[in-house]
Amino acid sequence: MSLIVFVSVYAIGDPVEILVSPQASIKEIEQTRVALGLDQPLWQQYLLFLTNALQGDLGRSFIFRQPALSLVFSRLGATMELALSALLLSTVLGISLGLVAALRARDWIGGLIMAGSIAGLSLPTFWIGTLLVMCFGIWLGWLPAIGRGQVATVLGVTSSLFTRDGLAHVILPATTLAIGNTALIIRLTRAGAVEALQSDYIRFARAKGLRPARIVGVHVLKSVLIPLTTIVGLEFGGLVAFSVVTETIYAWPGMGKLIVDSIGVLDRPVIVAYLMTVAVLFVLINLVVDLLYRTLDPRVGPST
Amino acid sequence: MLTRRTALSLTAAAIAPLPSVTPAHAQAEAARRLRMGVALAPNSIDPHYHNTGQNNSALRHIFDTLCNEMGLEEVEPCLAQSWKMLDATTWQFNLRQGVTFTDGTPFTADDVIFTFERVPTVPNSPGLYTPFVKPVVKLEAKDPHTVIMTTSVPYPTLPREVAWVQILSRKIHAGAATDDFNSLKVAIGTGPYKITKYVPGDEVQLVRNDGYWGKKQPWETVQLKAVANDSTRLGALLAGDLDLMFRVGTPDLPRVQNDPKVELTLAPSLEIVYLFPDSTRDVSRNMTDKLGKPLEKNPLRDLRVRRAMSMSIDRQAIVDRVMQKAGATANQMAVPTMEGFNKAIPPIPYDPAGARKLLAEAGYPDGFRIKINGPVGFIANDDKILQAVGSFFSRIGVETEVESVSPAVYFSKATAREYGLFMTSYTGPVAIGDLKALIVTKDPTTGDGPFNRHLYSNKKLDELVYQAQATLDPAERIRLTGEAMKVGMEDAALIPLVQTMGSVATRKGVVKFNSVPIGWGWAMLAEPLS
Repeated sequence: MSLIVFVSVYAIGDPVEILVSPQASIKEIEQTRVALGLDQPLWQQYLLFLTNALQGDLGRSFIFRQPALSLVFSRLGATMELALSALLLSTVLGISLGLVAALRARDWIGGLIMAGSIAGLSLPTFWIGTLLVMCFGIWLGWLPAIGRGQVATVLGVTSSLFTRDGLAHVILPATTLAIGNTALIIRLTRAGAVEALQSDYIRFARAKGLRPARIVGVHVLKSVLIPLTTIVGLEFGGLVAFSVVTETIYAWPGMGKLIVDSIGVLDRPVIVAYLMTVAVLFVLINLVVDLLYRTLDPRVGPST
Repeated sequence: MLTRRTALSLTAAAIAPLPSVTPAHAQAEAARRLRMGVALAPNSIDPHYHNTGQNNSALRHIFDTLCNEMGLEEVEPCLAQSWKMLDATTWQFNLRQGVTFTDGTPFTADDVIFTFERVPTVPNSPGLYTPFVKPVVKLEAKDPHTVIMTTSVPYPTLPREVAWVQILSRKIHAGAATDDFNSLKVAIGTGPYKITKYVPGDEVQLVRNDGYWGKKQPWETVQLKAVANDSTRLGALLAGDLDLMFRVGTPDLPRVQNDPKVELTLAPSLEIVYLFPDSTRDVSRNMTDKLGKPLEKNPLRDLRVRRAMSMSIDRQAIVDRVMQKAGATANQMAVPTMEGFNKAIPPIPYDPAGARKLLAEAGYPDGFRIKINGPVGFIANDDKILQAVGSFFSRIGVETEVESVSPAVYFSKATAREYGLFMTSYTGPVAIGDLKALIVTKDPTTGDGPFNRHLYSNKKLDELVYQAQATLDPAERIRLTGEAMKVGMEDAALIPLVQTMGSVATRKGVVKFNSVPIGWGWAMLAEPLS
């Protein structure tokens, strides 16, 4: 993968052209090229990168001159808290609304929820984001329109979720990011629940006289959760990796904003470090999802 | 990307005329706190690491220079109270007394010497400040408050050069690496503010330096917040999360002007947008005859064709409609407030009929086909400006296709000469600088002509520029520069289009911003109104 990034950045253009100041003379431009190691042939640059990467060094950003990996990691926290808030929001809202929609499938409440979910799926993030900023940031003035707010450190984790100001800042971007996923989860939950409600074991449970709350909360939900876990896991990866648009609208100092800026100026070390971090993250998420399966569905497991 | 941006600005614009409510969290301490929204945050706190506009703007809150370059005809004193030329190659700078760095270290002449030694040695820099210290070959401290600088050749504009070099202390900064600045360990200067927080690419927080030698600053704390998207930045200002923002997106300008809550300041900048025609190669790129067959002869080599194309452009219409009046027409590679601007050069007429005639004389009565190129997002509304230029060309029979791409791709290709005629801009404080960067013969031994991408070369112009550069008498120097400019413009080496304007929007009644032509985004230029 790093090879693809190397070749494609090389094909796009020369970072020196963008970095250099208008007052620089030809000599200084050459000097910059040497300082960044861009005077070497591409294969040599790549070889050097591989040698260093094996020792855990992904190089230094052309722009910030800081180690690329630590730059990406310093932004990881902000993105994770946004993604986690969005995930929590979409799961809680999505599952509850989905269940309601399944139970009231025939009346107007179910219809309304389903119509809403179609809108949620089809509205683009940037539009929702701008709309929310307009309503809550500008017209009503209830919530801040940009930035991350104050952060606090609890148990070694620094996050804006621990302060009032930080929470106020996270609401709008998290909602923006959550809307698409909420819609998806509503539809999945509803589909799963409608199917489960017609199955024999639910009818049996009803016949046995179990309380409706227990039927839905335990028996129906359990069968719905299995396909949902896969989707939520994958979507979480998506939330982390593709929060780019939301982070741009809210000037949220996360990884998405960093990668957009880096691509704009061809900061290759950061692009490589970012993509590798995201790849590792996806692997980890899938691992967690697989482990969760085993807890949710005892049938899944090593064949005996 | 484009559609997204358009949609954003449309929605942001739609809300502007409605009354907005200022939230309580924004009103608290508004008088003492200034929150500025910028498009780009500094990429380092080391003032010698990377010479860019955003770094020079941000770091000058923390560090001082010997003189202040504001983009006017004269530079202003700063750490140097006065200066004079002792002979053709020797300068004396008299330093301000009683200035200390924020850790208490006194500022002396030796710190200036140290700074000039350090500038060329900062490792791994994407763009050093060396061009500004290079003219000086020897520095001496005559006494702790007097510095003598010797240049290799007569260098009448030396104060303009040293104005870009931010002064550090030998005692504090000897051996300091860029990382030590970024960690704020040695981010210590003599400037009006002290830095308290730096998040790369995102924000800088400053507090007032109460021991500052100059005028007491009205703001206790200053925040520089990077918000890359123009519409988001405006939204944040309207929502009261920012007190001031730089660079209003062009589509938002008319609405911002009518918004009762926002004050818009437009100020002419030093940026000239220009077209660079390939007048040197026998066969160029991106040009065909009307049937699509590549031209065997480069039409842009003919001065009449270059002039015709220049005359076909209605610059005033571009300023009025495409730039929403945030600009002015340009007839040379300098702005009227600049040293070296030639007042005798007439405006370029908008004359499509004359242009057609010139084309016919040059042997292209039916015109030809051309693809012109430009960047997206480098200059305000650049892709729209290029489209307008393309349609003006088409009207005189030069069928034009327009291609705008990201700067990341664009500049490499322009330098590799993959374009026949391209658009970009140049920003510099003096006219001779524009000439030396853009149309003086490109020469790796002197380092001149770094952005002369089509390798234009004109002996007469070169001679005039180098003669001007070595002339000590200001009036004569300005005359020679103007003469060189005239030669270049008469030859249509470059086709100047427009001068851009810097835009600053502030919360009305809360902040007032005093723009300077060079476009500094300094809190020192912002005044509280309440």
